[in-house]
Amino acid sequence: MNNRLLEVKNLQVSFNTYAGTAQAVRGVDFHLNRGENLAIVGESGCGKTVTSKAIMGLLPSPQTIIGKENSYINLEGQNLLELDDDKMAEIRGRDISMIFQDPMTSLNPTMKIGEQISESVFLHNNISKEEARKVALNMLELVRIPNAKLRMNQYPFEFSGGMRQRAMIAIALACNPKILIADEPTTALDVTIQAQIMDLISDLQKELNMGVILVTHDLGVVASVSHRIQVMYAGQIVERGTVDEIFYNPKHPYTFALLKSVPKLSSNNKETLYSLTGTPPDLINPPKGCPFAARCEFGMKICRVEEPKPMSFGDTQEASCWLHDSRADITGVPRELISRGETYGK
Amino acid sequence: MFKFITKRIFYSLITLFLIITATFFLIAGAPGDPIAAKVGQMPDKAQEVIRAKYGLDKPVVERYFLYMKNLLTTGDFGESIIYTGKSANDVIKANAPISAKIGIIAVILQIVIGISLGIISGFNREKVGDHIIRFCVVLAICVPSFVVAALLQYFVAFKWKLVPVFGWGQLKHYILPVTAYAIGGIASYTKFMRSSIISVANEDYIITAKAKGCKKKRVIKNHILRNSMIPIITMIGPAVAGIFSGSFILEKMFSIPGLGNYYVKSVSNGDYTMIIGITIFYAILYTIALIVVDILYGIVDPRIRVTES
Repeated sequence: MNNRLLEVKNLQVSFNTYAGTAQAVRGVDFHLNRGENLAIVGESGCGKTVTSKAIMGLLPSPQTIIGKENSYINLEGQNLLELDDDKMAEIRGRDISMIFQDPMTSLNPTMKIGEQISESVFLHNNISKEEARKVALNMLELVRIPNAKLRMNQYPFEFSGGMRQRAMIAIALACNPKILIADEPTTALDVTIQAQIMDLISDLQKELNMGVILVTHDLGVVASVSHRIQVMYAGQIVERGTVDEIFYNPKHPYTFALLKSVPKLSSNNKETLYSLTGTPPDLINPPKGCPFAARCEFGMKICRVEEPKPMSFGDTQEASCWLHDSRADITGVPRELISRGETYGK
Repeated sequence: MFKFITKRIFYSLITLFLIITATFFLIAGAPGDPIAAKVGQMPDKAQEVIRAKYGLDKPVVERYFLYMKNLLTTGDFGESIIYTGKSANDVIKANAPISAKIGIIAVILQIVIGISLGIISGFNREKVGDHIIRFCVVLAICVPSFVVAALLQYFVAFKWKLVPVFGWGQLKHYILPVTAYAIGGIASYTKFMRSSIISVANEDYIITAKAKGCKKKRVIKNHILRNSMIPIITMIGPAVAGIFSGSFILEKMFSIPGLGNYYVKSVSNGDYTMIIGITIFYAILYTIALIVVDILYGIVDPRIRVTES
């Protein structure tokens, strides 16, 4: 239990829009252990980013409604949902840090890199600006930016995309946070730089023993660095498990489809790349039953009527899908998908 | 930086040269004869003497070279045709400071009040204060300055007798023209500052600033304000140049002996030495203002700053 860094229970986030209230996150539970790398995967608009911003308390305040009944975000026993703005600002950057998708726009264009890094050091530690600058310099060296001394006095426009993401990581890690949330940190970068940045994040994670929440839609990135994966769809977690479980024994047809759509080097290149048809459901009026039912190859009648309960497959894997109910007709369903679990909470 | 400024000054000189040349030939080619307007009743012989005095008997090209030589060697814009005995330099020297006094006060008010209101409005978006400010801004932008001036004269001066309707010389004479001059500018600065703040506040780097633990005040002070000043600086250049030109309509309405008044009079009389002189004077101010804006830009935005190498 002492190993639990973060515990999220029944997180519900909705947004007021002109069209109505969009339920972006609908009852998400998960936890993160010390030194663990947890990946949250899913396609755009499934609630990954909203979940991570909710943990950071960074969602725009007047439009966002975060459900507080029976829900909590516990950081080492402290419920972040109950903290006010100023208290939350103290936690941000010190205990939980976040890096973002687009390093080109995520740095202040009129502030020197060194200043941007030392700002958070200065904010959270009781030290002088000079000392904060020294920490910042160390951070730049830690994220492997050559010529760190010179780079300290440069502006973001003098940095390349990969360098800026390194600088972002330096800002995020400057106060030695317990948790790093990386929201699609490599999406805007080219492939070789992607690999470097992912390696850097996973090296630093081991070095600093942080918990990392990696938000991504790229399963290829996840495979090499994460320990556990949770798959989100329409604001809910539809499946979770260790990396091996998810890659070799996916239980949810959505996970299955995600894995199928990863291009493989070994496959015959004349094959058409698999793509999942349709779009995620409208979250202003979420559908009855399983949210994935409309796009599911193996959809049954029950799927459109009643929401499936999470079922467990061993200690670590869990999926919410009616296919694993003993009454389901499983003819034609791929072998990897079938193996029946136990329904939770009955 | 030094290299940058010298380069800018060099380019400005070329610009000025082109402006002087263009103005000279345009005025020379314009219909109307200032001498005839001034001394229409004189015998032809006398007119010719006067023409020769101003060099108007020579061909245009020769006049141009004479004018340029005179301007470059002595800095003299030439004697006014209408105001005999006064050179354009004298007129500028005597009257530009009056326009400038009003202009400087008005522009400072515009920038300070406009930017402050913009900040208040931008950070209290969609709240009562913001709505009131925006309503006033729209009103102030739509109503021309001379209408504002007339309203001020009627209510503040005539009805309530708080200040004199017009006149020049004392502090109380400044109040109405400065107000009438400043209101439109205040409104535009407010409008631009507000939208600039709102767009900067939505930038990704503001979320980064919040994510590293900056509290609201610090986010505003260290991250939003500086970045939202960048588009405003573009507006300051022309405004500073406008300080000296004043507003001839306002100068007329308030009987202020400023330069704007002379400029308009010289155009209607075809007083070409005055026209060219005042045009050059404005052009110099304008180019200086633009150089200052470029330097200011570099101070606020490092991306525009010129590298030392």
